[in-house]
Parts: sequence; structure tokens; C-alpha cells
Amino acid sequence: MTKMDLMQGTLDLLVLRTLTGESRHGYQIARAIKRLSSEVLQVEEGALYPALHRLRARGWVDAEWGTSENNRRARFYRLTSEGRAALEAEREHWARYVAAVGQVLDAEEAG
Amino acid sequence: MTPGRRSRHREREELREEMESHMAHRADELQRGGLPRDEAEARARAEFGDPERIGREVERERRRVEVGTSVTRAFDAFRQDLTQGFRQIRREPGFAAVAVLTLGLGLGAAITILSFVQAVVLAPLPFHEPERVVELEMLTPEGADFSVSEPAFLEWRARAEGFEDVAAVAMQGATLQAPGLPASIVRGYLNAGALEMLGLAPVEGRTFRPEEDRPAQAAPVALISESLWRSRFGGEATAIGTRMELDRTSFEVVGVFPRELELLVGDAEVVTPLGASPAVDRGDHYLTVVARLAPQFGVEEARDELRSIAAWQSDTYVEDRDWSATLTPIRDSLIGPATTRAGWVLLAASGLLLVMACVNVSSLLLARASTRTEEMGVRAALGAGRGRLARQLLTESAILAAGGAALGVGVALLALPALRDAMAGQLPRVQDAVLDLPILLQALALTVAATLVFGSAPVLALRRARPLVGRSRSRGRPGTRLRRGLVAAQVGASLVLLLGTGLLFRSFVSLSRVDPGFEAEGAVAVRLRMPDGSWAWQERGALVASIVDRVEEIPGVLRAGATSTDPFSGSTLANFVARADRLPDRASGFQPVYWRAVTPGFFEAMDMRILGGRAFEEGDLGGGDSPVVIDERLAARLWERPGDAVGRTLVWGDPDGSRLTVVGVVEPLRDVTLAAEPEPTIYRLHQEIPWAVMTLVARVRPGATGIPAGLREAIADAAPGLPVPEIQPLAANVDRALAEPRFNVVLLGGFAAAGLILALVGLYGLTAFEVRQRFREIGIRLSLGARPEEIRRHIVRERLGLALVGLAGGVLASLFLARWLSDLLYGVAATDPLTWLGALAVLVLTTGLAAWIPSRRATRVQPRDVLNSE
Repeated sequence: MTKMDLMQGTLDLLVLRTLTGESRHGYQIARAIKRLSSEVLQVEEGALYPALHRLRARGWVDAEWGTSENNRRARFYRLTSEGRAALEAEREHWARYVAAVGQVLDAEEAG
Repeated sequence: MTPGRRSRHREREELREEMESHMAHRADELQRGGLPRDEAEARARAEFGDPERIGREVERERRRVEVGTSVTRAFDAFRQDLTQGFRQIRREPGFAAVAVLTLGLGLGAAITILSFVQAVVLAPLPFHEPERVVELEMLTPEGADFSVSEPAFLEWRARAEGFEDVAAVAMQGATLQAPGLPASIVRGYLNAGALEMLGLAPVEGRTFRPEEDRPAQAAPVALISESLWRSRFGGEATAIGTRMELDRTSFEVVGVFPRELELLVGDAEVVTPLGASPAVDRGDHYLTVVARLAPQFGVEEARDELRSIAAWQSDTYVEDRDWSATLTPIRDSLIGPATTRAGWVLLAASGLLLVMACVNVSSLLLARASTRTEEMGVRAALGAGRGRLARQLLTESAILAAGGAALGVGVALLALPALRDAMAGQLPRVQDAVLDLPILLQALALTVAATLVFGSAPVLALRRARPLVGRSRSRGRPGTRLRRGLVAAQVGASLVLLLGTGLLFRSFVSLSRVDPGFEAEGAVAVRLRMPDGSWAWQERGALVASIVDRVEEIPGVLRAGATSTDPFSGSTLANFVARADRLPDRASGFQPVYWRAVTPGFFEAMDMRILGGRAFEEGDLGGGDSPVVIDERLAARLWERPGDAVGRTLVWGDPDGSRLTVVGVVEPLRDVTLAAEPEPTIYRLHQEIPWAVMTLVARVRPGATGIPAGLREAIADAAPGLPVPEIQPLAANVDRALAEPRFNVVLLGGFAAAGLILALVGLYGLTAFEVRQRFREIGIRLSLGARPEEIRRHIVRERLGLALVGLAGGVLASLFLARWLSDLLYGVAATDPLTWLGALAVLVLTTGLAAWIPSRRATRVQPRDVLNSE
């Protein structure tokens, strides 16, 4: 399967999703998206960091400096309760969107 | 919250470090896969992309977020100001209403005058390089401007080098017979090349070709106006090439001329080639001549050259002896320096009115601001910045100004059509005075300017709003004295206006009670136009007689007659008569008279009283002298007892003139103007002097129906091809006579009402402000035992003193202006005591009221509060 770039707007959703468990730093977030999508989705660093900034400005994630598994200094991101609520809302929105697009694509052409 | 509070530098450092960490983690992983460290680092760096670029991306993201929030924040603050402003206004609806009304009057006047002056004076003429277009006129030996003869025009065009091209226009009444119903129209004559010279293009079709404009035998082609094109030809391009019948001649429609040509041809509906000829009598002057200056010529050089050609004409032709010629820029001859000056004066006056309105509203706002000093002080103490407070005050002012602007546009929407109707035909381009986008934009600019002018006063007063201690101490600042002077001036000006309105109104009432000498009720009038081109002189007498006969057969018509003087049209015919038995040897000894050509039934149709003798009878013509009827005024001039006139002989025009026999004497008719005493008048039979434009009057049995249709049918029957315009009650003519005085009353009354309102608002605002300023003084007086009533009376008396100063000025100005007004008055003296006392009483009472209302606040002052607030 070829690798796909992320559609604009879905990146925020995926970043939030990777943070539902433990807190993660930037590299881990990019890795997690790649892994969870079976290596199909590729995150551009040029998009990831503006997205993280945006999410932080909205108050959906918190950031905190800490030490990584490789014993390096890294900024860890954590989902806030607002971010969790936003993720739920976005997830539902996405499901409806996918369903609607699927319905159109699968529909029998009329006439 | 957002990290924006932290220093931007630190933010950037952190991002850089975060990205380095990202790359290090990637390199760690590659190293675990077996790459040497330096190679792994290089690859991680290559994969990552440009950290600088990512930094810029993040920076851009940050700015996007921040701008978003600052816009929302500003919007929120504005909405808050707005809500607060509206709440404040709801709390004092009376204040808001007065302020909006005042501003509405000021802005309404300014917008109206602006669009009027813009259309008439300021807008450039719709010609190509209009400043190079001039009007050429002949000058009589006495030096008066005069129309141009055809030969003179042709010689100017052929000889003058100072003009690129010269064009000539003439106009004449005409009858349009087809297509459609016959109609009386104005026919214009224009030479080929005239439109091109002005830089105008036909709306449809083409203009005249030079070969169609040949001397004395112009081709039967015509240009039509846009309005005729739409009404008769449906505005279709197929109109071009169709034929129309004008003055019993068939013309081919070759084009539609543009509206801009109206500046030269006026109301003309059809324009045909002029075909100017050198053979036409040089004494016939009827052309309007315009020209475009040649490139290297100025107005002065061209005028000198024209003058020298005119000098040659004067030397060569006896008809032109001692005549000269001159030229004026077309702008001056169409619009005129007087109109231009009047336009600027009007603009200045309306600007002054607007400034007055602003001054008044600002003194209202100041009065209120001083009562709000405490509120502002509290808010300042609670941490509201001065800028924030100022913004809130300005927002309130802007809300008031917006209301005023809306009202002003409404005023202009009402005033403009009235002004256009009143000025139609008197000034060019008045019909262009409309509320269009540029005018509305200027109105918006005016509103913003006004807001800043009147809204800045309370903001400046804000400087005194110090936290917690909110009180103003000073009084009698220089601004107050100026405001007092302005208020007194407003009171004086409104006295002048009120007085003028009162006089004009009383004059109007007595004018509408004048007995015109005929009965307007129960009669209808129709204009019959029989231009030379369509009916020969000899035909007309019989034509009108047969129309009258046919009209009298209509069921419901009692009697019909026709007259050459349309009642209250203002146009008259004059001549001289003398008694045959006392014939003066010179024409100068003759009696000047107005004369009318009438048909025999006229006196009965008008319901005029016969004072002696009889009216005309059928068959009066035929033997000997011509029969005439004269009015009582002429009879009284020429004979001691009017009754003596019957059967006597008059001489018409000059000592050798025809002899007339007086068959009857009638009541004088006031049908030229209602205001003036009728001039001596003589009536002659239309069959003897078959005038071309007649007014048919038919007296109708009360309750008769179908008269207009019957009239149309009768006229079409008796005179096929004669245009039948509107059929109107004769009372409409009388109404027309009252239209101008009525307009004067309404116009001046509007100004008077506006002036009075402004003066009252000014006085009210000033008093409220000063009362507030003097709370302390009032409190001390009260605590020293003064009674509230005394204080109130003191304040009102002081205000009345101010008003009296203004009134005194107003009386002086009125005495001066009344002389000028007396020309417009009928049946009332300019010094009419009732009107003067009435106007003075109205002003004293209303100014007293305007002072009394705000003075109530003074008496509610509690001495304790004033002293406690120290």
C-alpha cells in the first residue's frame, strides 16, 4: 500500500487520539500515527509542530518538559479534559463524515 | 491559557530545542538499526526538513491565533459599548429623541442642499471638454444680449478661425400627428454636426448628415427624444427608419438624441435639421448659437475676433447697424454666476445649520456628561481606562448620529422631490438632484464629522473625571459665553423665520379668499393649440367656432367659450386704445390695455356679470365697425360713468387703427394673478383675431358625467388632428395661482420649524448644563434659606433675559427684511401687529418652557447632598 499524506484538518484529530493514553513527545506522536495506521499515514514535521502549537493555543493539550525513554530532554504533550471532549466530538463528526462519503461512493448510480 | 504571554524569544528557543530532540530520537532509532552515529544524525536531519521553515510555520500559526482573538476581543468590546450605549439611551429616551431630531434636521438640510447643489452647480456639464464650449450672442445697440439671425450664424461659422465648429439651435411649438394621438410638442431645429461638436452621441441610430441640412430645404429627417422614443416607439431599435407626421409633414426617424442635449433644446421632443439660409431676413433673431474654441484660441481672443466680424456685419448690413456680438463660456450662460453663487451660499447656510445642530447636541451631551461625572468616576475607579471611557462616550454619540443620519436621509427623501418640482423649468439639471451613492457617501462623511464635533465635548469633559472624586468646580469658562451667544442668535433667527412664515401664511389666506370675477366651480378647461405649421391663420376662427358649437351639443354642457388668455398662466396680450371722440394726436396718449380674443359664449361660460349692454352675439360680425366688449375698469378710465361706454366707438392701436364699437361692459376678471388689481381689458372676437393657442371653457350642469370623454370626442370630430391634452377643472387654474404662495409658506414654514426646534434645543441644553454646573451654589443658597421656587424663577428669568437679547436682534433684522418681504405679501402689511405679537408670544412662551423644564432639576437639589459630596 502506498503511503498517504494527511488530509488537512484530520491531523489534529489523530494527534489528539495518540495522546489518549500516556503523554507523548513530538517524535513519539509521529511514530504512533505511522504505527497505528499500519505505516500508511505519514506525518510531515512541517505540519505536526504548527498543529501542536494550535492545539496548545486552544487549550486542548498541555505541554511539559521531561526526560524521554532514550534519556533525552523532550517536550511531552498531554490531553486536557477539554481536549478529551473535543476528541469525542471530532471523532463522532469524522464517523458521520466517513459514513456519508461511503454512502455516496457505494450508492447505485440512479438512471 | 495560551503561551502568548511568555516571551516570544523563549518560545522560539523551546521550539528549536524540541525539534533537535525530535531529530535525536530519530537518530537513536536509526543507530539501533545499525547505522553509525554520524550517519544516523545526518539522515535524521535530512528526513526532518528545514527547522527554520517549520519555525516560520509555527510563528504564522501563532499569529493567526492571536489576530483571531484580538479581532474577537475588539468586536466584543465594541458590542459591549454598543449595548451599554443603547441602554444609556433607553434610560433617557427624551434626551435621545431631542438629539436625534436636532441632528436629523441639520443633516437632512445638509444632504438635501448638497445633492441639489451637486446636481445643478458642481457637476461638470456633460459635454466633451465643456470648458472649451462657448455661447455666442448678438448685442443690441443698447448692449443687451440677443438671439442670432440665420445669416449672422452662417457668417460667423464661415469667417471665424477661433472656433473649431459652430452650431445653432432653434425651438418652436409643433403638432405631432402620428404615430399615436395628436399632441402638442416642442420642435427643435439643429444643424448637422452640432451633436458631434458637443461630444454627444445618439442613443440609437445616427445624427444628421451635412447634405440633409441644406439651406431652406432641409431633408425630412428627425431625431427624437428618449422620452418620445419610449412612449411612442416602445424604446425599440426598430423605431429607426419609421415615419412620423409632424405639422402635417412626414419625417423619417433617423436617430434618438441623448438626454444631455436637453441643456440646449429644453423640452423639445423632435429635432429636425435647421437648414440655415443666408436668404432669411437678418432682422429675424431666434437662434441660440454655441461653438467650440479652436485649440490655440482662448476665450478673449475668440471674443475679439467675433467682435470684429460683428463690426463688419454692422458696417455691411443695415439690419445689423450698431449691433455687436459677444461670447460667454457655456457654463456661465447655462448655469450662471448668480446661480453658482446662490449654490455656494446655500451650501454655507446648510453647513452653518449643521454646525448649530452639532453645537446644540454637544451642549446637551455636556449637560448630561456633568450629571454622569460620578458614574464615570466610579467606572474609572473600577479600572476602566480613560480610553475605554472615551470610546464608550463616542459610541453613544455615534448611535445618536446614526439615528440623526437616518432621519436626515428621510428628510432629504421628502424634501428633494418637492424642491425638484418647485424648481423644474427654472434651473437646468434640477431633475438630476437625487440621493445617489456619492451623495450618501458624503452624507456618511458628514455624519462622522458631526459625531466627532459634538461627541468630542463630553470626551474632553472626561479629563475632569478623576477616580472617586468626580466633581467639576469651574464655571463661566470661555466656551459657555460663546454658547450663550449662539443660543441668543438662534432665538433671533427663529423670530425672523417665524415672522416671515406668519406673514406669508396670512397673505396666503387672504389671497385664497379673493373673488376672481368668475365662477371656477362647475367648469372645465382645455387648451387648444393650433400652430402655424398645421393650421393657417384663416382656418382657425372657423375651427374654434365649430369646436365650441360641437362641445355645446354634449349632454350636460350648458355653455362653452374660448379665450386667448389661459387663466393664471401669467401670460397676457397688450395693446392700446383711445376714445374715437377724443382721439389723441400721438400714440403715447393712448390707454394701455390687456386684450383677449374670445368666442361669444365665453362670458356666460365663465359666469361673469354683464354690467351694461350685452355680450357678443352670433352674427355680430359683418357690418361696419368691429364689436368689442370692455371691462368696467377700462370703461371707468375712459368715461365718467361706465354705463356711458355702451354704443361708443374706440380706436385700436394707433390713430389710424381700426374702429371698434363697444357693445357691452363686463365685470373685471382677475385671471392673470390673484394678487394684482386687474388691468383695463378689452375683449375682441376670435374670428377677427384668430389666436393660435386658446383655452376652451365649458360650464357643466352639476352632477353631469362623461364630460371629459364627450369633450375629446367632440374635439376629434370637429377638428381631426388637433391635439387634445389634459382636460382639467377650471378650479385647477385657480389652484395654480395659489401654488407659489403655498410653496413659499411651506418652505419658509419648514425653515421656521427647524429654526425654532434648534433654538429651543440650544436653550434647553445650555440651561440644563448651567444648572448642573451650579449645583453647589444652588445647594448653598437653599441651605441659607432660599426657597426652591425663587431659585427656579431666577433661572428662568435669566434665560428669558438671554432670549430677549436674541429677540431684540431678531426684531431689528425683521424690520430690515420686512421691506423686502412686502413684495410677496397680499392683504397684510409687513408690520401686521397681530403676526408680530403672535410670533413674539410663541417665542417667549417656548423659550420660557425650554428653560423651565431643566430648571426643575435645580429645585430638587438637596442641600445636604451637595455639602456631603464635598
